[in-house]
Amino acid sequence: MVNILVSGTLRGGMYVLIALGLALVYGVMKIPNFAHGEYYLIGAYAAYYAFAVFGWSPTISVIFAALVGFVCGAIIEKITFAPLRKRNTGDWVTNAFMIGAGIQLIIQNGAQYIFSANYFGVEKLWDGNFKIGSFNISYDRLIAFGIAMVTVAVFWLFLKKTKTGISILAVADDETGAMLMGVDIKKIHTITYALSCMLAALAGGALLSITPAYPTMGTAPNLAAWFTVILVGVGNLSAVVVGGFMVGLIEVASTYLLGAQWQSVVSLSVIILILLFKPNGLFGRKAKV
Amino acid sequence: MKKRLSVILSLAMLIALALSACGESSDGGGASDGGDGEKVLKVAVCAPLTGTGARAGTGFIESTKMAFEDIDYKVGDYTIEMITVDLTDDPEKGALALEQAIVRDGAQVATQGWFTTGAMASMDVVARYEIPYLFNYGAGQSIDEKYATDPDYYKYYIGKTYPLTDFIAVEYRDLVVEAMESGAISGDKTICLYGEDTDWARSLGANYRKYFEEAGYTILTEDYFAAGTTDLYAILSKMQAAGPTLVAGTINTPATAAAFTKQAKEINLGLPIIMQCLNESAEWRDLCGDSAEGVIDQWPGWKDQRGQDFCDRWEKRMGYAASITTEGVAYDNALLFIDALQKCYDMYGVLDTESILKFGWEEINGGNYSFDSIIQPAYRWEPGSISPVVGQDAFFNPLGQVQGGEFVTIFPAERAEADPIW
Amino acid sequence: MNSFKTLYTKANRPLQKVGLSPISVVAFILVSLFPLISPNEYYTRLGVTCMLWGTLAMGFDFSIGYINVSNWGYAALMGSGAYVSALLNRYFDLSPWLGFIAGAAVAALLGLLIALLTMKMDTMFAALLAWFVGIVLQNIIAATPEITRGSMGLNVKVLFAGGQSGKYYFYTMFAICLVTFCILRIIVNSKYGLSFRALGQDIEAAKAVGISPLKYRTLNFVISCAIAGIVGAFYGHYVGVLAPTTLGTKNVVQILVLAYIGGRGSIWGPLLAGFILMPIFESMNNLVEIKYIIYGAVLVISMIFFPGGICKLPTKVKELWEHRSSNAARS
Repeated sequence: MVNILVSGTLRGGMYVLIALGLALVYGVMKIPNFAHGEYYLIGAYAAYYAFAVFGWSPTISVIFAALVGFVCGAIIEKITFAPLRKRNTGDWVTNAFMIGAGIQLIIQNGAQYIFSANYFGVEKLWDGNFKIGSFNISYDRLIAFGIAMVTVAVFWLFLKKTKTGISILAVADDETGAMLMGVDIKKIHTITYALSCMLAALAGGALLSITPAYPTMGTAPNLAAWFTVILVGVGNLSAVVVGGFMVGLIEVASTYLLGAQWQSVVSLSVIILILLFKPNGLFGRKAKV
Repeated sequence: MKKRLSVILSLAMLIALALSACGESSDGGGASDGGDGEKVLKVAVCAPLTGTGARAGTGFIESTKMAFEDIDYKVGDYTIEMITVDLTDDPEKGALALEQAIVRDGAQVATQGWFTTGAMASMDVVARYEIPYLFNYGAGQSIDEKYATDPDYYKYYIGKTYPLTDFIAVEYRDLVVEAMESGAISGDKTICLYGEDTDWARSLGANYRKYFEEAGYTILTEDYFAAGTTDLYAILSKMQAAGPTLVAGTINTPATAAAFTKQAKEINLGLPIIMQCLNESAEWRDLCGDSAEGVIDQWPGWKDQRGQDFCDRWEKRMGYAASITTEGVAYDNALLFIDALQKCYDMYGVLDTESILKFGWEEINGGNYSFDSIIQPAYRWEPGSISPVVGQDAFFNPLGQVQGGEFVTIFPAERAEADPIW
Repeated sequence: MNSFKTLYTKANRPLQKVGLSPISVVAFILVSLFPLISPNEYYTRLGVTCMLWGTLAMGFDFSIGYINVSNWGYAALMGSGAYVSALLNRYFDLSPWLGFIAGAAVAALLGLLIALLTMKMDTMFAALLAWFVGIVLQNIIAATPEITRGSMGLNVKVLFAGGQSGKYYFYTMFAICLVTFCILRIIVNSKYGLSFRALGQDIEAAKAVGISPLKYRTLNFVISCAIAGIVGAFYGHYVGVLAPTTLGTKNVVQILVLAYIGGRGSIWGPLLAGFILMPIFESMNNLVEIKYIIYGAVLVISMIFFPGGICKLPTKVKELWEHRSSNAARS
């Protein structure tokens, strides 16, 4: 039981960090970002180069990963979603999804082209471990979890207390209204997308010792982030925190009770069941038509 | 409006079909004679180069190139033309790519390969074109089963180079039974099985179950997780709670293998771990650190200096270390292929589809052919089976254990460099 | 020119009843002649691949282009059809031809299930839920290797063996493709098609004029998924091996790409996209990863600059033409 809780919590913490960016981008820009896992990949490669090749300290490496994620996100938003928004005629959500799928193909195969299909990883970023019950959790894992929680908290403050953050929330709430209030929508969109990529890249960097960098690494976190966001409902950022832990715990519990091969079946079935009764997600707002 | 729409529809359909048809005439070829009387043998070298198998596939293609470069792409007075085929991780795409190599590029013989499903789909392709497919490195049980459904139809598929996974499970079982009898390990006859959810791990897992149950062991848990999973606390805790005497399984993805050993250490699993394929990529040292200490895996050593030379050359060429169980066997496989071509040429004086088929059926399948590999004692086949003969004088991988950061051979006794530490 | 036009309209009327137009008849006849002029097996099989994915994209378009629900579980439904037919053949020795029907029936049932599950949801959630159902199906198949062989790969009996079997596959697939095309065109040109479109544009307004979302959405899903099931059953007996990845997201993306680049709401656009895109990408096989980078780039660019897809091209060309001629007339 303790084991389920500890490992579910550790797993959930990471899901929160990854899913938060996805929820943010969907909430503000209505982009179902299928390429979200690829920013996680960018973070992992960046952290590997910073830590293992340039020999920087782990903390700086993780920050570097986040920065690279932010910059990549901003660039990608500027050359894809921004022009799409200007030209878009049909169904924005599905068009944006397809662009995400395209970006995923480009980044995944681009990574293989540039870095080969090898695994770039390190044994550990931080040395040492910590005892909880029968667990000897490595510092890496704990610090990654700590980073996730601190980031979520800082991010929360950013959204609530800074001008940019308030603008982002305003755009999420009512784009036209925000525009009338003088918010620079284009700038907010770019910042939002870049921030979302930064969160994913941060997770990728912090988890480098657990998941080495390789071209197809983004697929699994991408799925997990989607499960989380859909479970709690779109447009509810704070609920993502709850959702991440829930998905983590459901997955761990199903592995424990039924076997790993049934993990996805069980966790998804639970999500589908919840959606049947709450079609907008557990904490979702009623969709505006 | 509707008319013009339809005109464009039909035009585009035509152009697309015409374009694809034109591809053939420009690439042409197929005959074994090049321009000025030079003899050419076109070889399709197959491996997944994109998707989940890309890492291993790159190893297969590059080491095959190295082997061909060593002979300057010449066997007798034939020049070898290598056609790289990306089998991908999707059998449909892979089969079509092989088909493209055979039909458009005129490949006369195919070799190498990785995924079981890809191999199964390519069996149908080569049977259709009556082209020999020599020495595929597919391990899954399903390949042999498919072959058995119609050995005559699939006879173009010759000499698979990896045996059925039975021998792996048998070796581990023998090791464990021996250790139990000698008192090196004590406890109940209980075991937990684990693996990635792949063709390979499922095949091997079924054999672990079969052979350990035969030896009187009880399987407490059996878990298969998605390839690439790096959060294994739940599975490890589950195994720990079940309290077996040892855990056995296989993990191909280096990331997952490292996560397994590291997290096993974190939760204090404290049990002997059998992990087939840990050393499949040479990065395991960097990724696992000292957490891999004590893990048992098959450890085929190099037979002679040729192996070490290959490693050095590989690292120089590719910038990363070669692993004996991926890049090494791929190179060995290529040497085997070249050796077979050479012998075929010596026997018939011709290298083409017919002569290679004849050689394959009469010599390889007939059990007359044997190859002095740089890893295995010998590669040879017996009539009626596409899998190679297993045994101490044929295909045999001894077992190794990580001791002091490196693999040392621990089983069988006659080849052991050290005693297993339990 | 004028007499040609009258001839065209004359020929058009009876053909329209069966969902065709003179030009699509010509196009289909040309395609049907392809195995005869095809220089070899490979091109014949490439033709099968084009039709196979094109037909799937048509079936997908029937949902996204009309009722505006993106069925991201489509590859899973196709894979379910494939597994049903293959397993029935393996355990009960059922003929693959009957397997096609069984596959279609199971996929249609699953489609019904998805339709009912997603009934109350908006477009995005419906798509995601369908996707989740797909992943569940994929994982169930992977988790039950005793029956399905899981990721070890299921060996499927092929429909036709032998070196020159390509044309048999071609005509089988051609028949499926043609029938699908006709049926879908007939439906979308009927009053059902109008209802579908109305529902896709505005559910509330459609309800107001008495179009029941329940009835039409389930009907649409059942038809669209049955197509996936038939094509899937064919796929299994064509490729000869099945693995759970057949149901995976990668194939969903492939279908989406064809449907979107082909253009939504036309049926013929996605099919044509199959004929154009599949050969192009197949010819780039030797580029390895760069092929997929190009694939992604094409997707991104076409979504930004031609979100309407191929099926909107004729209108665009016509507009351009008229613009030009009016300019010419003015000068």
